[in-house]
Amino acid sequence: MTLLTIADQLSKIPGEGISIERMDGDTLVARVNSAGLVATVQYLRDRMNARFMYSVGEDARQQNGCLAVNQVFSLDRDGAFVVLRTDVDPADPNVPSITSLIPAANWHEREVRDLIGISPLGHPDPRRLVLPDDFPEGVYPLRHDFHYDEHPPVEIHKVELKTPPPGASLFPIGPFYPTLEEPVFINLFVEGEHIVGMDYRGFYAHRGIEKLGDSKLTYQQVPQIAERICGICGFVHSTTYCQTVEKAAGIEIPERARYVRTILLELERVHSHLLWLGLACHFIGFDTLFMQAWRIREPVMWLTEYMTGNRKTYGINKIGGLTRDLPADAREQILPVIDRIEGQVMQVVDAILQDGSLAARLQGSGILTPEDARDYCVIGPTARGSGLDVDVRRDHPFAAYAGLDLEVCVENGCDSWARTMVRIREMSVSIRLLRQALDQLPGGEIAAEIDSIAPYQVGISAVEAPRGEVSHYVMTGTDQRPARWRVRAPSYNNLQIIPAMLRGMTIADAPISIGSLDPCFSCTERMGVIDRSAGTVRIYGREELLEMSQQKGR
Amino acid sequence: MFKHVISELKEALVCLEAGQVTLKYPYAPHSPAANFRGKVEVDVAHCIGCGACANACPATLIDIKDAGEGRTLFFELGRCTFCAACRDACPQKAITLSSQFETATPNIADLQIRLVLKLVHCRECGQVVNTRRAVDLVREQLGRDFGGLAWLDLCPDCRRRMSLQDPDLVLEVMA
Amino acid sequence: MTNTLLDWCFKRSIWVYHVNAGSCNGCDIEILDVLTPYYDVERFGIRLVHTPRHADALLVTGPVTRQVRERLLRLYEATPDPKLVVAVGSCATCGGIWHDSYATLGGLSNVLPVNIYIPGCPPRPEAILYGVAEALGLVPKKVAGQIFVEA
Repeated sequence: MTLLTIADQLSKIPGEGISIERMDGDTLVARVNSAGLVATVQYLRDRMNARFMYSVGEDARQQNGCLAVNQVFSLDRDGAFVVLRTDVDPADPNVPSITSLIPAANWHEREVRDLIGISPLGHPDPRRLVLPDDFPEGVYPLRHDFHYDEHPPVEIHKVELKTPPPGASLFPIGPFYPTLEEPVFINLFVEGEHIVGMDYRGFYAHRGIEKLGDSKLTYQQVPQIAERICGICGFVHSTTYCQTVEKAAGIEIPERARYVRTILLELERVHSHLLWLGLACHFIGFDTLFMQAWRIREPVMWLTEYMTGNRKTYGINKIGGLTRDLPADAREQILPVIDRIEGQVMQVVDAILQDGSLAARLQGSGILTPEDARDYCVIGPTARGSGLDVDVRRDHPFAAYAGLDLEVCVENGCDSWARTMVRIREMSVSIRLLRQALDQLPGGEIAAEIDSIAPYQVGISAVEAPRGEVSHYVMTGTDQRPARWRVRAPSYNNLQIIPAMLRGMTIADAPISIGSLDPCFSCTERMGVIDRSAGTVRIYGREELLEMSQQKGR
Repeated sequence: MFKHVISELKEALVCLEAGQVTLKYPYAPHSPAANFRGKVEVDVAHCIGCGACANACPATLIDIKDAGEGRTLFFELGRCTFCAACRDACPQKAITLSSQFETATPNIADLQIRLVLKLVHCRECGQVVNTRRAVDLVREQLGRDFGGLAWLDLCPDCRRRMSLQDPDLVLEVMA
Repeated sequence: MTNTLLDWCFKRSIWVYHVNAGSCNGCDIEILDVLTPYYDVERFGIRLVHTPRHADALLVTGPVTRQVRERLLRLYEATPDPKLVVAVGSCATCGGIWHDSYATLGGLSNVLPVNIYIPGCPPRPEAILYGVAEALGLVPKKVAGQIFVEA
């Protein structure tokens, strides 16, 4: 479907009028008023097969005196993004909730309420999500009248975590836990060894990133902060941001820049999947493979340090292309490394495929049904392990992917083993893509000249990160910085699946099942939190947890 | 069961083939490549105190303050993200990112740079014009093409005002 | 005599507990990397432990977000003396790129007493090795502040 066809279909929705605000490239923005929002979302989901991506709350009062909520959808088969924008009166800020239609919208709507102050009417779980328990009510950090370095007074509004059902005990994990690289607090409800439910309190890694992006930094400084959202997918985020602004401002980047971005993205994928493989084995006590996977991965880090000046924060993205070119011998350096990795990975995979203990831990556990996967709009290897055929590189081609021969790896096992196989296969695909990209890498300019960027332009872009689809939304501003910059990492959607996935499993399998989603809490938690002094949460070490668990059973 | 033994042997083979890979570091160096972005170094001989680096730095670690006779440039390098925006912005190429990565210290002050450069004040109203080095740089670059440059130690407001009152000032520039 | 012996033992075998106080995870991954075959920090007797109660040193990454602050303090109290606190990365050293965000506390020294800072974004595994060795007094400090006043 072209955008015109999509617009035509949307105009057929019965009920409240929907007006097309803009159509540009692959993005259609439609204005819907509150009364018509639910019906429009239902139509998009059921009749147009749209996939919900995320919500963006906006303080657009400088533009038109209103707040706004944008619901962003992807039409994967048509390579289009559809945004439903609803203006909200700041004097009575609310919209109808769409969570009953789209379970994945649960967190998104709560975040919009926390940070912009628009309440989702009819939301099944309207607790605070993102703001800490001692942040005052009525103060919304992403509104433009809140300054990025303000410190509002402490005011306790504790997030009550759910209690276990009758007969079940509580098994808290975190915020610091041996198998968690990032702090997050999980309450497991257990009967004996089996999990019957859980609740989650996250957002411990908030740093106020989106706020800094729209209040303190300029357009060309934001890639630096974007690269530090996540400790693995740094380049993914800086690329997505640059692509988003380039789309909003209509900037065409040189072909060489497209290819270099592709090459670095695929290198990131290779080392990320190897990292994951090592960590997953570490979770189940298979440290030999942890060490070997990270040994195999290390030359990629040396390679990226050679090519960009840093192992992980490459620092070469800017709006318009690249700040620096790769060294002249980049191809000669990359090819031997990936050849060697390909051989070593095949050797390791051959060894573990018949490993009974690995299979026993991964097969049949962490079941994610295709229905749940669709309801929660999961993405990446998590979705592809449950049979969902989604991959941004094919569905919304970006950088140089349109010219490359891509294979999307889908498995139907729905368990941790299936997700493992997806990532292993993806490593081979990445190496093939790297060879193609290096063969096709053109010479020429690395960056386009940029005039000033016009305000109030919308851009949406997505990149297939190792964990799934990363997407950014930018509304350009009036002072050489975004007026709104929204970051949605794949783990934001994927983490919501954990309660459904853990039900019925044993406690021992919980870490590896969560780990099989390859969660990245840093990517998820980029909003600001204020002073929390009221903690009633203890920090448990492994020994204490075990002891507590045993004591509860006595 | 047998398959399991085979797989364990294969895994052992992977380890044996890899052998011992441990780098000799720290007993031997393991230096990064030439374009590595390490510790920021400021060449004090070339810095003119223009503040382009402070504007560019996304971590806002460069603080510039004028007080009395001097402009102080203070670099809080403990915060540095090694993005090289400062190096790219500096018009005098006074900033480089070295290969130094062994920067651990018990004392934050070891990661700070403080430069104090002399200021030129407007001879009419006393406002800060610029650093002496910046003024000297302009004088040096313009001196080849222009005549007297006594107006260089006037602030922009006084310069405008005085050139209306004193046509010779304008002629000085045009000479 | 006992103190000298304890000092000698302490320097021989440091057990480290790693804490993420709101970092992006980059430094955490480099810390884990230091365990892996190319760097093998265990050859110095250093190993990662799973509870602060067994730790001799805390490796802390992240700017210390406000959300994590109190838990970090409790973790510090749970760690027995003598202990070293190591700030790993630019965020822990001085707050990093978001030092003045309302969400963060501007670096580890605003919350805990720090024995050594290892700057980097993220620091190379070699830099982390060097920093830990320096904290143990095995290698010299290589950086010094710079002050220049124009005459």
